[in-house]
Amino acid sequence: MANIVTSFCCVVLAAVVVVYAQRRSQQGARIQYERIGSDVTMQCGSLDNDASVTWKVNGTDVKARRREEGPRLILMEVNMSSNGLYSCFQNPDGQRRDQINLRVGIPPKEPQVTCRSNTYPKGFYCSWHLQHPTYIPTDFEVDVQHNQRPLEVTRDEVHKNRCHVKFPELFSSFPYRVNVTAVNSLGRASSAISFEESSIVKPDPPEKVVAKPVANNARRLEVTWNSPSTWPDVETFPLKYFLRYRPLIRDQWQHVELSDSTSHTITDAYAGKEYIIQLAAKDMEIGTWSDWSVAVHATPWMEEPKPITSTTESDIIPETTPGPPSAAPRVGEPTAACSTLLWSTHLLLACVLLSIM
Amino acid sequence: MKMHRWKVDQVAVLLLLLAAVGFAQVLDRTLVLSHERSSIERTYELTKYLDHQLKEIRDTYLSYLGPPFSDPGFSPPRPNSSSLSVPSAATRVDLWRGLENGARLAQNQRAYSILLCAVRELARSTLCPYLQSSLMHFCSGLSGLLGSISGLMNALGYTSLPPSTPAQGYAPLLSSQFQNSPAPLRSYEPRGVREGTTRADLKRGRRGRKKEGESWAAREEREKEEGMERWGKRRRLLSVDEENILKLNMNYTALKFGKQPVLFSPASLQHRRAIRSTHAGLSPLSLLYQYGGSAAEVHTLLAAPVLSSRPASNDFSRKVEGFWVLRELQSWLWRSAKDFTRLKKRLRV
Repeated sequence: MANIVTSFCCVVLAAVVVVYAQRRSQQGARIQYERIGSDVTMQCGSLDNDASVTWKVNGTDVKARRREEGPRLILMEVNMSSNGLYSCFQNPDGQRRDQINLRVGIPPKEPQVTCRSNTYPKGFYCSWHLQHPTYIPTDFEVDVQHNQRPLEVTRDEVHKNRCHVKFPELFSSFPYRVNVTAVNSLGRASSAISFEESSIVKPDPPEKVVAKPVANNARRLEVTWNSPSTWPDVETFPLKYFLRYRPLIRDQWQHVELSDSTSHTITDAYAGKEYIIQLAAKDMEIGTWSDWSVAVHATPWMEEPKPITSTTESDIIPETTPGPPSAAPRVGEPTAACSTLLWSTHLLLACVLLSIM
Repeated sequence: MKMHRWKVDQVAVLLLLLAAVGFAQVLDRTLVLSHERSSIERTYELTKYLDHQLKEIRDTYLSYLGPPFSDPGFSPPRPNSSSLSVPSAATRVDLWRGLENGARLAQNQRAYSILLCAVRELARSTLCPYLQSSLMHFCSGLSGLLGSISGLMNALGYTSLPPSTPAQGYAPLLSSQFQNSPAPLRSYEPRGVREGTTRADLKRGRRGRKKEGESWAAREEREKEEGMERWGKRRRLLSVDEENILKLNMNYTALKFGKQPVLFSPASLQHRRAIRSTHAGLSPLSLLYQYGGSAAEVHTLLAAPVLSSRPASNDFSRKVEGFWVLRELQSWLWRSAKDFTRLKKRLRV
């Protein structure tokens, strides 16, 4: 009984020791950031210049182009494959003296910054990104100035490359200046943009767009929507809307501009055709149009097709009837056929008249 | 029995009469409001139209000024004297929202009266004839806007720049200034409604004295003069006027400078701009300059190396001033659109 307990304790202890040792070995490593393409010097601890060490990377021998000078390892023209955990062992006792985690990357280039206000008049947000990856951790510093005064910047919790600023005042004639600096161990780069309050206002697209057919009217579609939920005060800062619609079969859009209204009835829809409808929003006076909302599909109301009654003439009629009654889109065809017939008879008459003359 | 029934009838008739009177009043009010609402709508449309016109004129004017003004995104530093003469549209959100209808209209009226003269002066000093005529044409539109605002104020029963509202921060100064300032400034009596005069007479015998018999042209002329006085006084801010010192001396004691420590540096003057908005867009400082404040008196209060004895009226500073006049006018037109939208909504209630 006692044996089982002691052996169990020993196992647990051993596991703890192993885990601790492993973690310790990793913690001991320091990180070294170096530029791609450069020659990298790694120093083994604080050994003398005449010390002799053996280097290993990730537990295996170092195969890259290198030079070894005493306690230093010099790698030539490093690239991404040079990344790794380098350990140096002192000769002849083989004790590990140091560990270096080598990470190669590039210094940052100027970030690209854009700002937008979708919550006018509350505030605006700025987002930035680097066109080229740096491969090593890079931080960003943001500062916003207005009328020679710095403004408070709140970093976004979710989006790493975004910050929020409240408008200090409205209707300002002074531009805002946003400066974003990208910093990493290899260097820094910054870019600044300047803009007026009115030019960055761009609401989010309208929400909950619903398009419904209108009963007993084959050419109407009723569209309703909500103002974007991010727009804080649509009463005091009303939005105007742009509605566009087209039948699926056509490429050209039809447009309607609406002020301060969240519903509209399309009255010139082609009977029986499926429509695609989208909406955009804009502040009444300033800024730019939002992106298009999610597209909504709808088909106008159609009359219930009358059932065909079978008669003796049913053998002759099939040529003229347009086909099975359930094929609703074909309702338009007979009318098209009639119009072409009329047109051709007119042409024939005209030709006859001309020939007489 | 008969007496009792007669009494009941009387009461019924009385009630009916009261109801009728009440209904008439409500109807009257609704009619009045609907007239005002359409007037607000027209004024709103006018601001949008002027905004559109201004965009084009501004582009032309900036290219007339040449570089660096014609460079896109160029924004010159706002010189102290100019910043005080052109009223700023900028205001804190909460303050703007909380403005009472009368104060809102009054701020617009004041701003446009000053800006109108500023633009007229700009037009006068423009050498390019096409640009000059464009600017003068724009001025007539601006003048129409001003008239529309004044008319609205009268119709709603608001007096222009009422001296009795301390919330606006500048009122006490005004009343005392009146008695002492050498030249008469805008008379703060409500003027006759332009288009609504006859209707106003018919519809209601409301308060608000009207300058009867005054034609539109005469009124515009008078407005122009008064506005020019204010604009002129602002421009003359830096000329030392000993007579004024004596007259306005006692008025400066009324200034509540104690509320804000008046630090002095160009940067802090910019700071004052923020505090300006706490006084509903106006600050004691700006009014000081507005009413021909003497530089000497200002010096003792502000200890200022910045204010020279005469404005540097060289070419560049005039160009900068011209830039800011048009820029601020643009902000005001955007703001007015929002102001009128808000007024419309508030009157609906």
